Amino acid sequence: MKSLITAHFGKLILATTFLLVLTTAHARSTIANTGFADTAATVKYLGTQDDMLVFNVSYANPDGSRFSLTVKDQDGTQLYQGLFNEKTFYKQFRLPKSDKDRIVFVFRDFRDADIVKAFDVNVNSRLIREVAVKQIN
Amino acid sequence: MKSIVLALLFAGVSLASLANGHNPIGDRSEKGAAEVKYIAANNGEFFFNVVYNNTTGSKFSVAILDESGDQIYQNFFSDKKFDKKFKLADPESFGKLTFIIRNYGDNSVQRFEVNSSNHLVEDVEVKEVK
Repeated sequence: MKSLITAHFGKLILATTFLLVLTTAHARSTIANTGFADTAATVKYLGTQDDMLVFNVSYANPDGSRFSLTVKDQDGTQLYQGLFNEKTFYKQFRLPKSDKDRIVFVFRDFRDADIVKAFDVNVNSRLIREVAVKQIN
Repeated sequence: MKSIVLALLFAGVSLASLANGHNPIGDRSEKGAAEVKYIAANNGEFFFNVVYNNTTGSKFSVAILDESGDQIYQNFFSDKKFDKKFKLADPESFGKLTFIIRNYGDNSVQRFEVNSSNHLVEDVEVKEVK
C-alpha cells in the first residue's frame, strides 16, 4: 500500500515537474489551414537542452473549436493534459529525458479520430575517462 | 592487507615488454629520464607505459602508489632500456596514482602523478514513430 502511494506520488511529482517546465508561446501565423486532418497537428523534436527533451507542438484549429492535447509516456502515464480552443495553437514542451522510452502526443477534437504522434527516445550513456600524467619533480 | 592484494594483482597483470633491439619509445626518452604514458585501447581498457633509459644499467625500482599513498606495486630492475606496460587490476576505482622511479646508482628519483576523472556523456536519439 505504501509502495502504491509512493508510486502514485512519484508520478504526480513527475507530472508536476513536467507542467512546471512547460512553456507557452502564442500561435504562429504560418501554420497551414488544413482542418482536422492529421496534418493539422505537428510535433517537432528540437533536441536536448539542459538535460531536457524539447518538442515544439502546433495545431491548426481554424474553426476555434475545443480540443485537448495529452502527453503520455511509454507506460501510458499521463504527463500533461490541456484543453484549448485557439485557432492556431503552439506550445513548447520540455521533458526530462531520463527513463523515457516513448513520448506520445494525442490531439483530440471530440469529433474526429484522435491524432497521435509518437516518438521513440533512445538515450545511450557512456563514460569518458580523462587521464592526465605529469611529472612532479 | 587490501594494498598487498592490490599490489599482487597489479604485478600479476603487468605486461612485460622489455626492450629488445630497436625501441622507438625508449629512443625518445632522454638519457636517464623516465616517461609514463597513459594508453587507452579501443575496447575501453587502458594501461600505463613506463619507459626508462637506464644507460648505466644500475639497479632501479618502479613503485606505484594509490591515491591514499599506499604502495600497490614495487619491483626492482636493472634493464638499460626499460619499457614495461602496467595494467590496473581494478581500473574502475582508480582516481589518482603516483609512479616513482628510483635509481640506486645515482640516487635519482622521478615521480609522475596520474589523475583520472570520469564524465558521463549521453547521446540522445529521438525518432518519430510512423
